[in-house]
Amino acid sequence: MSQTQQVLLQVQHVSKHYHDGEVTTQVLSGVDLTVYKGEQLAIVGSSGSGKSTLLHIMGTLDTPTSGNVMLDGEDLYQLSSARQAIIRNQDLGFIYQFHHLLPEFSALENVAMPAFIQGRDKKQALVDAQNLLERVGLGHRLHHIPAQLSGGERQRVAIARALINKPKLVLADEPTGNLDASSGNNVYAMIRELAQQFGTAFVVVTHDHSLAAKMDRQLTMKDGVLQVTANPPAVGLAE
Amino acid sequence: MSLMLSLIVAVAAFNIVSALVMMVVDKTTDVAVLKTQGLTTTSVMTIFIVQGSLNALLGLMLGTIAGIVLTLNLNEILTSLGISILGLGQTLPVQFSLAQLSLIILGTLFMTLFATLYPALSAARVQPATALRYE
Repeated sequence: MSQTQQVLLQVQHVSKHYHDGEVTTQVLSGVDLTVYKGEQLAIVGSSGSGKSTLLHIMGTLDTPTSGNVMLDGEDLYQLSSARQAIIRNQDLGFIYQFHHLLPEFSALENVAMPAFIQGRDKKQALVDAQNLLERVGLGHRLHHIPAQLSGGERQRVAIARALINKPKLVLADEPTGNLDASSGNNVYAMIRELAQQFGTAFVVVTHDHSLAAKMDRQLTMKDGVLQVTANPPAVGLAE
Repeated sequence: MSLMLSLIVAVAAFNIVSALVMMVVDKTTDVAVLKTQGLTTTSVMTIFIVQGSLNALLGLMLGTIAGIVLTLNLNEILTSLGISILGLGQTLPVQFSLAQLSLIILGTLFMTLFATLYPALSAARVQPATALRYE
């Protein structure tokens, strides 16, 4: 990782507590994190360590109790919800442990959905979706609905869907948590390849250290704080 | 008579509410996923309002047509069924008022549209982070 890398997203002193009656649960305690353009970052941690919450906060899906998240210089939590939706549509992609494909739609339509939401021409969106599906090796499964696909195939559709609008950053929450080792390895290889090809930054949350070790940089989430685990970048993990 | 009619329409409106609420609950994950893809709160509301209104319109159309046909042929139908309400040879007076009909149609339309608002609002309020966490 070089000094010249440009900052894409900055998480600044983000804390998150949940109140449940009189009990307050501190999930994140002053997390600082910088994601650079095009980098592949893994966040590992045991379940309940707050890594998914951090990912949601990075993706405008959850609000921090305090702190800021800056994406390309824009403070995400100062924006209107309409602007946040546009950012989710155009600058961010999401991949979940459970693929979360829409069950009534074909693989092709699922991948094209974010482009439909963006308002892209329908034919063009379907052509782009088909290209991406062929790219992830599912050219022969275009018109299958999720129920007709295997776990690994569904996850590849979900990856294609996350990339259809050419986002700057893809946030993946346990993308291989539901797959066997070989499908998991394939999904990771695909993520790395696509990240390099599209110049998209990936932040992957996982509890699988061997998969995390394949990414450019690896951080560990423990008790609501991020720690450097391996491959420390030249430019520090946070200021 | 109008009280009875309003009650019937109110029951129908509640049916729309409950059917749509069930649908919202059923589709919570899908709504959350679409929101993560950038679908706006307004669009989510629109989807459920349109869905509810289409059902309401379809019901209104079918109901109006069936109602008019039945009303205009009420005495023939009763005779053919062998039912006599006012005694032999007597027929029920049928009065068909366009003004009344339009009022009923408009009122029903308004009530059913109103009925779609609550389910649509609850769909729009789906928080993706919460909905996707408790999968």
